[in-house]
Amino acid sequence: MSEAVITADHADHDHHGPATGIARWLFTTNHKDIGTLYLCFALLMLFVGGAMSLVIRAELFQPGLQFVNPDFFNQMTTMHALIMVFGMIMPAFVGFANWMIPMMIGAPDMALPRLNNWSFWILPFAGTMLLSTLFMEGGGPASGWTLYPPLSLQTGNALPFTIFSIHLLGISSIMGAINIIVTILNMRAPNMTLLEMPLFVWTWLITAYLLIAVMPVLAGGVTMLLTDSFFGTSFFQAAGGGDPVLFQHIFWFFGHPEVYIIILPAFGIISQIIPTFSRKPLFGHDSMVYATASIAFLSFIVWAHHMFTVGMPLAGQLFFMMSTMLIAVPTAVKVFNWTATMWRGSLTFETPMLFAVAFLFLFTIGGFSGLMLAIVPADFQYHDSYFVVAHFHYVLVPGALFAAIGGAYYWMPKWTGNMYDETLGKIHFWMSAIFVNLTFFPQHFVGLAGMPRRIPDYATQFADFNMISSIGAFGFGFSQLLFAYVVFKCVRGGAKATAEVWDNPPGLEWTVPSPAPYHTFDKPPVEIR
Amino acid sequence: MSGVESNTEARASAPNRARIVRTALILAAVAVSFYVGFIALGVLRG
Repeated sequence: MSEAVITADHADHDHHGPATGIARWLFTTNHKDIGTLYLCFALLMLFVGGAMSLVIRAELFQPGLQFVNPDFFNQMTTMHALIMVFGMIMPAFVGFANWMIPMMIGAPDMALPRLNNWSFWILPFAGTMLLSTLFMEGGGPASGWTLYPPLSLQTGNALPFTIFSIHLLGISSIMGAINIIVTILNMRAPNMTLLEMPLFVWTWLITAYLLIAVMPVLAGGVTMLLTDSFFGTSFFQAAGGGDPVLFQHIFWFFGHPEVYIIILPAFGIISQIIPTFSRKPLFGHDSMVYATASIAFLSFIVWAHHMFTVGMPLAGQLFFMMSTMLIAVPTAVKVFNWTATMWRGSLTFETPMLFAVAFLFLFTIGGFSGLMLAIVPADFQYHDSYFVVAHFHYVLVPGALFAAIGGAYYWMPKWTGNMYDETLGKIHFWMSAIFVNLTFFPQHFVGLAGMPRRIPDYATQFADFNMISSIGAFGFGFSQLLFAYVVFKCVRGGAKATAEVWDNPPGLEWTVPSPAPYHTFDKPPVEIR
Repeated sequence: MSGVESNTEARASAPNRARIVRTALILAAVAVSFYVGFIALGVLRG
């Protein structure tokens, strides 16, 4: 091994404390500060995107048009999805990655700290630009988050701003992904092999590769949309010899791996929480890694299951149906491994564990309805119905969001140095768990009965279930205000957390004091446990 | 160097820095090629 070349002026860098005031947050290159920024941004966007969903549910509370006109309703469905996917859940998991990956692998910081700062600070500008479209003439984008042409090409002034903000959000994600891969590959503790890395680090490594592979595909697709709209090309315009279905292929070649970009870090968080509160090592650690990699690989060869109804050859339908069903195998490996981890463990049910167990049940419901949608002849019936809405919300809300909230409760004492209010945490959990099911479970029924998605009005036969769903949505939304209060209260004070916080949890992050010092692992950890 | 080498210092060393930059550039090149490649796909289809 070559001798390290160290210049004298490097020697003291790690002993700097944080800057003061706004400069700390604007110019920070510290992974913990940037992680905090991402998490705060995600929490803010949770409420912005959540408010839009409440506009949708208020309108759907009963049949007929109540509060908003149909065009604004469509803008709300589109913006809700874009904000929640690109502005909330992805930044939330990048926040977790920033905070935890360096501490989990024994690194002093991310490998490219300035790039890290840049990755974050692109986000607020992109988010603001996207939201600003709502105030433009003609309003925001209203063609759904999939931006299918030709409908999306009829969007007014909002289209170029939406596309530019998607480009910026994509650049931010790609830079973040590059940083994560480079950090994990080059800055692990000297005696930590790849297979010894915690599952959260593994799931993020694989997620980062997915991001680099597919975010440019989305960027390419929307660039072609832009040139179709403003520069006279006909990539997707049938009148000029283009093919609108090509956009659907491109979009879903990005879109399906995107689903796993969202859920794999959630799997990682669950894989950290369950062993801690089962007081057992994670069952089948290596098989979890291979299952994650398998899911990532399969995610590239299933995209057309989102578009069975466009009219594809039978062989194509069969291929995409079978490959989609195959994903159930590695996913089941994970679910069974989590269950086996709990089997005969000394279980306790603190708030993070409650969210993890709820994730296990409710994400699995979303997985099973996904299997139903994978079956071609059945999908012809379910396509574009509320059943699809129920399916992906079960995956994304009690799936990804519950994992993120559980992760926040799990690591909050490490971040703040204070224990959160366990009683309020449990109340927050039970309210969330009850209201999330009240919101989304009835949507299966109305979907199977034929209610289409993305409509502001519906036949009276769907009224009762829609009313229940809307009550659940408002309950769920207000429950998250309690979460914000618990976080605020924990940041302000509370019982002091020990370094380990929990009962002998696995991982290097628990070897540093709580709150984690501004700089950690100046020297490489000797034991990686 | 003797004793426990500072992690940060070791990682700021020239060989490691070069490896970090090289990995980052390769990944960025992959991203750009996917972007260009998919637009090329659109052009070829048109």
